[in-house]
Amino acid sequence: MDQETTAKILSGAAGLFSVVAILLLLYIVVCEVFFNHGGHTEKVFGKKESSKAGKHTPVIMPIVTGGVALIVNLIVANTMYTGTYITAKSGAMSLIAVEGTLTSVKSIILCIVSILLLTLGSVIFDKIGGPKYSTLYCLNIALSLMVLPYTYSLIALIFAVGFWAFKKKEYLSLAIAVVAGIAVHFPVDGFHLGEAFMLIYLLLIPLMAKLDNTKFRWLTTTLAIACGFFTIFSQLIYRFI
Amino acid sequence: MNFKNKVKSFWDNEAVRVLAVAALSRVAVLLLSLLFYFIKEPDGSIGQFIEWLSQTGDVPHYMRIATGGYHGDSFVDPVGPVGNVTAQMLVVFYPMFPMLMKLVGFVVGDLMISGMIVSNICAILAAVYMYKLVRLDYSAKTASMAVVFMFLYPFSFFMSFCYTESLFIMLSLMCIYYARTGKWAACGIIGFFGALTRTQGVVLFGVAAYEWVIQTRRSINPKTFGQGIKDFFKALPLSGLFTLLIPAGYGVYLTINKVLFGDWFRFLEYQKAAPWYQTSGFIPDNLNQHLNMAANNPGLSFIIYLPQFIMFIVAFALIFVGVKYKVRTSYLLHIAAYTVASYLSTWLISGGRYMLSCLMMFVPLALLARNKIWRYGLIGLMSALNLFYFYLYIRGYAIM
Repeated sequence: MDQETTAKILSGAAGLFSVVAILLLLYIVVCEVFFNHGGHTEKVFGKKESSKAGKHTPVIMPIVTGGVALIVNLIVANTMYTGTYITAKSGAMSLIAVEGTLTSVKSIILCIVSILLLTLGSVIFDKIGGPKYSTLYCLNIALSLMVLPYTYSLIALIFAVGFWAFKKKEYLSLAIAVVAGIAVHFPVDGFHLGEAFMLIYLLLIPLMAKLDNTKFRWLTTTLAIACGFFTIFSQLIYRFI
Repeated sequence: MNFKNKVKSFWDNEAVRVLAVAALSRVAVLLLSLLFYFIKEPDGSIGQFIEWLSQTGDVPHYMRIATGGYHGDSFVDPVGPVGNVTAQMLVVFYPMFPMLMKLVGFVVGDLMISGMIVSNICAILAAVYMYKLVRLDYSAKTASMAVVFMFLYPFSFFMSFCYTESLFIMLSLMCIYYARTGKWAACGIIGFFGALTRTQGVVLFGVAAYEWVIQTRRSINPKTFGQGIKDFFKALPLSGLFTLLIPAGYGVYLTINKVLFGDWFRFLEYQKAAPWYQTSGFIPDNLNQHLNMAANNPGLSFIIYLPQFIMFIVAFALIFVGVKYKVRTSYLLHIAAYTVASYLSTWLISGGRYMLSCLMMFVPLALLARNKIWRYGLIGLMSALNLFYFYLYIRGYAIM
């Protein structure tokens, strides 16, 4: 399907969507003016939902935040630069290093794998400290890099396993996680700043979660959100400077 | 009551707190704009920043109107066209904002600074009225979120500069608030000025008129249809006729055209010409054009065309959200009418900015934010996009 046909279909669908909304509103207007009721729309839309965070947060959150970060990266790659990447430059992962452009099919599949690894890490963090931990995990300062075909999300997952092992006093598991983390990305050309920030942020999650129960909740909430999206902003700024 | 209790009582007033936070937010935006400017121009000065701002977008046109007003066909401009815009073509810009610039300019001296003062004061008052309006039906938290989302909207930084956004938003919110509270004279007068600020101001008449009808309808309980008609017109407050001042404001603008050019609709001809090329067109065709322009101009796609397309869908999606949460019908009508009025333009390039004034969409958004995931996600996403587009605007990208 060519671009013009796609544009026609999308714009037609958007127009149809708006017409349906307008017709719905007109129906409600008629009901309110002539029958003094709101059109009984709860039969279609259901009652107001609960405002509590769902039990599926540790799975939904990384998919949503990771998906947004990925889309932003793809837009940047498509419009501002066409850089290539290698999945791993060092360590055990360099054995399966793959080179390509960010917008290739192979790359997008690897990005989806990164998001799955992010989700696994989120589930583990949820097991450690509940939805607060998993939410903070998904708003990592290095989120934008964690969804790319690099080893960030894998290192974060290994960190999550190691942290779980530490909490459970499973020291053998902890030792294996440390060795795996080093093997996955034994530094050859220096430790990357992005990884350092990611790991420092992960180490601070328990402190941020504790502060969230105090009057400094607004600070940790703001910080977590700012951290989570700062990396997107910094990626985009970098392209423009 | 001693002084300490008086201060506490004053601060306990929700509107005062909103006003204070809104004022701080304006200071933050201005400081951030300076920071972004000095990243671009490390050797620049505040004076150069103001000078640069006065050359961006429609600002020069507002300043020309504030300085010399509108002109008819016989006028010979000694300066000549500015950016392909002759003195006569300035009639496409509505008069309210330049008039206020001029008024404040008598005190301040500089028109650019006076425009920014008007914008920032209006932004602060807009926050208060958004809060008061949402607070009529919902909790303080929901009302606060509506204000937060208005200020986090990706193109909300225009509220701090020399554009009509803040003034129009303030007048719209005041008009709707007074319609909601049955103060029809205030609604009509403020709506009159709203209609003199932007084309979309006339949409306020639909909202106000609907409120006039529905408030009356809810006050009667007829047994038959015929009885209902009689009771309705008996109960209909005549003060509601003040809402007719809103289309009258638009009538004043048309009269300006008639007086200057002998043609009520001369502004439409100028809008069709360069540099705007604006006419009215079938909305799906206009949206199709946005997508094609996005594909053919990658550098402008994520700045102009894709945000416009996405905001069209978001606005109507929020109508469905509003229906689910039983948001007041007049608010949802405002979203629909405002969006349709904005997207009828065939060569829309400021859709992202225009949709900031689609104010009632912040109500269903605030209701969505009662869920923690939605709240954090929306705040994060909107903050990031706001900073991104703000930075690009100061860097001189085609955000207008």
